Amino acid sequence: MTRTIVIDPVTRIEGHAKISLHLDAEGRLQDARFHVVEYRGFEKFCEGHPFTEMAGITARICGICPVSHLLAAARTGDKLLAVQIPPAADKLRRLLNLAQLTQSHALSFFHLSSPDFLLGWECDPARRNVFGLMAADPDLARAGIRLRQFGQQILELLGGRKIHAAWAVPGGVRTSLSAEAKVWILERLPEARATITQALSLYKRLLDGPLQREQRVFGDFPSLFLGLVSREGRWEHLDGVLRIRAADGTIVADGLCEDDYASFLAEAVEPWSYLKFPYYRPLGYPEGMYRVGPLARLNVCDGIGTPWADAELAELRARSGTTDSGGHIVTSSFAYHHARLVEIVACLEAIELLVNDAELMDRHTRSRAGLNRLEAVGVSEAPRGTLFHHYRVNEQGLIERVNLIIATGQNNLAMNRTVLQIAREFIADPVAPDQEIPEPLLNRVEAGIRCFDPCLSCSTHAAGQMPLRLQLLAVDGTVLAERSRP
Amino acid sequence: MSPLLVIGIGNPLRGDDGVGPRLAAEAEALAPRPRRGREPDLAVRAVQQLTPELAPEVAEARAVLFIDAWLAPPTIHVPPVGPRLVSLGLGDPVPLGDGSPAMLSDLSHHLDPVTLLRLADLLYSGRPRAHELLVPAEDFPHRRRFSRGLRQRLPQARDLLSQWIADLSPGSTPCTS
Repeated sequence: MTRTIVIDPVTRIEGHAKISLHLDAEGRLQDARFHVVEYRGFEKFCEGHPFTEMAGITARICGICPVSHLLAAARTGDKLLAVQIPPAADKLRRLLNLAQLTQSHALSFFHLSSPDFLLGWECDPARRNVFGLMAADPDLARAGIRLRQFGQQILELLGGRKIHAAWAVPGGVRTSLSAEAKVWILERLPEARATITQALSLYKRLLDGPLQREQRVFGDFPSLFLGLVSREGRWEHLDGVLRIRAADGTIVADGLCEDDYASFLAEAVEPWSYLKFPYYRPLGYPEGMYRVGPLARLNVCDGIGTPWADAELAELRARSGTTDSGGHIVTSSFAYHHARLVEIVACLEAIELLVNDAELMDRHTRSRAGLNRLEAVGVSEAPRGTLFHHYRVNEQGLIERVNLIIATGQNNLAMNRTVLQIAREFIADPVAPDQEIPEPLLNRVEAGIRCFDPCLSCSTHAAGQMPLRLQLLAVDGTVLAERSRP
Repeated sequence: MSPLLVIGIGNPLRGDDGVGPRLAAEAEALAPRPRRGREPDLAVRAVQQLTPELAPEVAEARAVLFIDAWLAPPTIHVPPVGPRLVSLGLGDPVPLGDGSPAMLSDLSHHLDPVTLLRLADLLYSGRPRAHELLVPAEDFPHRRRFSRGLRQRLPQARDLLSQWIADLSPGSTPCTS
């Protein structure tokens, strides 16, 4: 009899979701499905609005990474205007995105994932949370908040408190950086550096000790990786070209332009999830699975280009790189956590360079033009990965069609694969009909999803909370066993 | 004196969910004007969700009001109610580890108000008086407009907001709800 184990919902991520583990007739784990169960309506909502409003509208999709949509929308708008934005505007947008990456990664590492690392997978879930972390290491908890605050404050210094008011617009940005803001950033940088130094040191100690097994079984499998790189092949987050690299280090495709995304990416749909399943078109579905996000960005690039970040990248590769790739490619999804810390280092170094760049303070920050194209694709690197915005407008500039390819969707196949690998490692196989699944194992399955730090706000709305539920279902839907936890 | 802090929670593009940011924006106009050269006595935040870096700001406030849309649980029969101003304590509504929904959300990307208050207390030793203005909501589609029911409740919600500000402003009787 085919049975299904359902974990519903996944905690510590946005929106509503559940995980189901599918068993075959012999009770062996056969498949894992990460379900997103609410309709994604933003694309439809955008239709009929002027493209100039898209930055403000799409920034409302997500409360955690509004800047990512803001920038992707503005860049798509640049193309509809067919303008090149002023150099200062490009640098200001870069500063905004670096701050966004910093604050989002800080939240993921210090407040969502650290409780698992520091308190242990077997820890009572009532204590394995941010309060448990505060009890264990209040200074770390406070430093994490300060680091996130640093990134958030830069966003506010640039865009004002109401960041959703679309500071980045087609053609550039609305305002420049003030001299006072520049001073504030430079004054706070040393503290941010100290915090990430401490976090890296702590994380490496854990990698050498209690996290060794997780590194091996939390989604360690070959896949493609996709991300932006500069035209010189370096780490990139806003401009540049798309590169796809295989797990053995081979560059599968390079110099790709986002305009042509439909030629190399396709999106599958499954009846059990509203989240789409993008894949690399030449390899087909699901063989064309690829990963995006911090780990993918570090895998596709040749280097970062700043000394501290390059040293940390070299250490990440030396620790976790696969033999097949000559140590260049890291295939364990668990390494997303380490990659986030390396990216924060890269961001801090890049922020310092930008803030000391005289061109950043130039007052000319916007190129103005009318509508010159009716279709455009924009891309940016969001904290969770590559984000595509594709708009088609009419002669009046009103949106006729929108397609958003979000990072969490692009990691969809890899998240399922990660969950299946973890389940096979930690849940007895075959699963006996009356077998109980201990809570720490459930948490590991969820933690596999959390490696990707998914954000489902693009597709869901958390109108209320549901308890975590585990169900063992027969093929006819009969509940064979059930387990709930808060 | 540390300021009052009003935090409106919600997404203005999701129907009734936007009531928190709407009322937070109106709060500035309801506050007494500061004397010349003085800082405003009221700080306002409109956020899509609560996040940890708000904790220091909450800790520094003398009183905090969270404004949020409230959707009655579908499994519970709740007779029609209007907007409510409820006090928030640090321990009583959601003791640690009791399995309450708020416990869940303290590890999500978003926090609930009580968890944020606890962060403010434990990390920054700030214990502001705290209230929550809950506005019954019914519809969360992708649109800017509120449902008819919520529009009918808005005046009462505004009155409660005004009352909260007035009660906690200098020279007034403290809020007792």
